[in-house]
Amino acid sequence: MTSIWAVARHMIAEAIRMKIALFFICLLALLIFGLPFVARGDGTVSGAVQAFMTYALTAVSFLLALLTLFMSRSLSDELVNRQILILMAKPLPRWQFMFGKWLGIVVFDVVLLVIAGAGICGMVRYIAASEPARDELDRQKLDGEVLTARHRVEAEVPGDMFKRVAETEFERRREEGLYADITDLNPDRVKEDLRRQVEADWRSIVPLTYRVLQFDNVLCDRRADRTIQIRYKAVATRSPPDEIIRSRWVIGDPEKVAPVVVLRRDVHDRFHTFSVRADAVAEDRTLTIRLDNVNPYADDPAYPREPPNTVYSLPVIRLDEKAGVEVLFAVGTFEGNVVRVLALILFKLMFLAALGLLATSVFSFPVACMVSLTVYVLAGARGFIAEALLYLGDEGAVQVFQIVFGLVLRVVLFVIPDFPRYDAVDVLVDGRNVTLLWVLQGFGRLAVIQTGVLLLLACLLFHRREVSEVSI
Amino acid sequence: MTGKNIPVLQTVGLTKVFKDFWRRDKVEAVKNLNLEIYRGEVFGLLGPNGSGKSTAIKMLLGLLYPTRGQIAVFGRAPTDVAIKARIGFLPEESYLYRFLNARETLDYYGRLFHLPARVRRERIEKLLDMVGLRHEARRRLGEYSKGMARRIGLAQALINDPDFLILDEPTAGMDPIGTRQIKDLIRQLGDRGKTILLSSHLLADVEDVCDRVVILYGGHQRAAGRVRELLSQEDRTQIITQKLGPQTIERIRDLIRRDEAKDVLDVSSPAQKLETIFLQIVEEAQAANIATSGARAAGATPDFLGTGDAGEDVVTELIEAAQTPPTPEPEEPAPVVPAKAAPADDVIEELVAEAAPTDPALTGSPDEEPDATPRKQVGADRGVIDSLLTDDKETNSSD
Ligand SMILES: Nc1ncnc2c1ncn2[C@@H]1O[C@H](COP(=O)(O)OP(=O)(O)OP(=O)(O)O)[C@@H](O)[C@H]1O
Ligand SMILES: [Mg+2]
Repeated sequence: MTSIWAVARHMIAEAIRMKIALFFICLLALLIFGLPFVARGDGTVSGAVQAFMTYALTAVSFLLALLTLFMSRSLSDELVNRQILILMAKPLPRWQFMFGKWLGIVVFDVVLLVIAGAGICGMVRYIAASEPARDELDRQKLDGEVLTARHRVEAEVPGDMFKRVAETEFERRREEGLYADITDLNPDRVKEDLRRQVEADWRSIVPLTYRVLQFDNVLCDRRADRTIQIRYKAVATRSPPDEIIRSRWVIGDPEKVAPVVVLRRDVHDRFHTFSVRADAVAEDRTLTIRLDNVNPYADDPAYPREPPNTVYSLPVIRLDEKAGVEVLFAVGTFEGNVVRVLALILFKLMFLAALGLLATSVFSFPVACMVSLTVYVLAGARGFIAEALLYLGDEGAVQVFQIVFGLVLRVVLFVIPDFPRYDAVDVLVDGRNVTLLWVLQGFGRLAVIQTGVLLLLACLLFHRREVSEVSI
Repeated sequence: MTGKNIPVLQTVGLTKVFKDFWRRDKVEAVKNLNLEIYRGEVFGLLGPNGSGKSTAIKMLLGLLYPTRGQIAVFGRAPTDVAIKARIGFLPEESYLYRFLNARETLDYYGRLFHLPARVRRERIEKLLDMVGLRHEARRRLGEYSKGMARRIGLAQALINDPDFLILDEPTAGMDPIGTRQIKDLIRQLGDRGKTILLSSHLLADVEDVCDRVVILYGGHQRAAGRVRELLSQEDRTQIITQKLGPQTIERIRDLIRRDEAKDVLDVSSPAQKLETIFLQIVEEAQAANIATSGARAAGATPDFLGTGDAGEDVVTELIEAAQTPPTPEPEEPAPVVPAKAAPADDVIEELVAEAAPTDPALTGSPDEEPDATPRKQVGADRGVIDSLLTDDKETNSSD
């Protein structure tokens, strides 16, 4: 352990002496202090903060990734300049040397990440405090939807109920003799069709009717001065001339709590978020929401030319994607969320550090750089590769080529980690909670398994290597 | 610890063939080398450039893997990390970190030996004193001159108080003071019971300090034995007196001719060695405290080196060793033959022409039979020794 740490310390000292840290911090300072004046978002404070965070975090993670890959230059130098000869004549097992190098890079990354994180958090708070909010809504949005870590609960989609209804309907139709003259009847297929129909009916709220949505485990702070957010997206099947959906929401089960009534006029096919008092959530942590497809503004003199409440003048409201409605509530702080995002970035860097060392222990530095950069780019584009595999046809003269190509892609998919999967910047900027589970998964997969495999490989290769053989 | 009969280092049929990218044989750097070094010995590995000295040493340290043959260091494989705690190594060039200063460098290596901080601090100061670079210890090694870096390299090799010190051309790039100091150091460490393996192509470096030497040429072991035996010219007699007049000299010539029936070969005043003069000048300058940002006066050899268990019994061992040769099979004293003309000249010519040992012309040369014993080739080896001595003088005068 002392040896590993000695090697790591040495690595860090080198990085510092080579002015890597200085350069990075300068660049970071430029980024953090310069960006807010360039990226202004949509003119609101919340927008400015969101734009700043997105750019700053993306840039930091990209810069650190490059830095991490280039840090393995140190190992390459030791091999080329032969310092390795003295080192390997010391009682330093080769795996400890390799691990020490890796640890050095990672510790250096941690330090830079902490500096970057502190800088970004500081700047966000500064922007939030110094920029005048455009209006009260803007201020609310900043505090309630950006600088927070919210948990998301989706409405229950009663899948069992759909199945049951489909089953009964099927039985009914068969008893009625509807299928009597069909010889090759496939009951499962028919039932599935019926089920889909039932679900589509459930998702569509016909004018002047309502739908009740149920949420479980809304584990929020229920005090009356707290709020929860309802986020929804609805589509008007027959779009109204002004593309606006009118609706009335009753939030809270009237038998358990005093419900809140909210009236909305929202552009259709977009996400909308509104806040309600947290005490609308029942004591048993359930929340019931009733969505009425009525126009609450029909008789409101403040809103002239509103469509009247008739079946013909209102559109059918359709809720797509899961249940189309979700409840959000704060479960953590913004700073805690930033820490978790940085942790996920760090796990990627851990992988890259091992990748760089592995490549350097096999190839000369320029080649090693190309190899690890390629892997880095592939890891970022892993989703596309997976997609390419789906679209790979198997007809035509080039079939052999396609099979080979498919095989290569499969290998690439197996070896290369899925970086976008652990990209939490969007979630952070959206004020949603970056869950501990997510972080733990990232740790297990990226930092332990995938990094471990690479390090092990690097150790094995380095162990077999004659360190005095000429490396140019 | 190592018993008296287990060699500190033993190699059997050690061979290294460098291969190219396509795994074809390229260079046979070391061929069938058999070494046995015992505790307390100062052993010299000699040979002209490219004769395979460094390659052999790298194999002993597990930095290269042998193509054939076995190596045992302290009875273990060279890749065993445990034995490395007892080894000090100075490679042929000072491969140090340019961005560290002298103290940090030594501290880093000290840490790798798990030395506690206090011991490290103590040793670092003493070693810096010893190599005369304490005042320059704050400067980055990238700024150091070659010789200064070499001194740090030496200090680095001693940080763990090694039992077995491997020095690859320790005097390369050193000034005469440094050279002298290294010789003194080697002698002292040898007296303290350390085993030392040193390689050089400068025989003068080796003749004062080594107990035994092996001379390599083109990877082959060409001669082996005790230095004094290899060097003594027992067919000559030298008389040194105050300056004599020409008549006296004539009378002496006559006397010798009459009594011994032999001729006087050479009459001259004994030349002072350049080394001695250089040493005098520098020592005077140091006494006058003239400022320098290079190497300073050499300090004392630190007392941590070889204290403790290697104390009294080393002396007794040395006494014993003086009575009985440490090797089981006593070396045949080098036969006293005047240099055989032909083969010796061959070798000299080759050396002068700076023929690489891998030169294919060499492989065909008459004294390359693989099974040739060193004894058979003493004549040729004398040629090598002479050429090495000449080489040495040239190097010194050109410095
Ligand atoms: N890594 C290597 N790859 C290929 N050939 C090598 C390598 N190292 C050494 N050689 C060759 O092996 C031979 C012996 O080299 P070595 O360095 O052992 O000589 P040396 O006796 O130490 O010479 P010098 O006195 O110049 O230090 C030379 O021909 C050299 O070119
Ligand atoms: Mg050498």
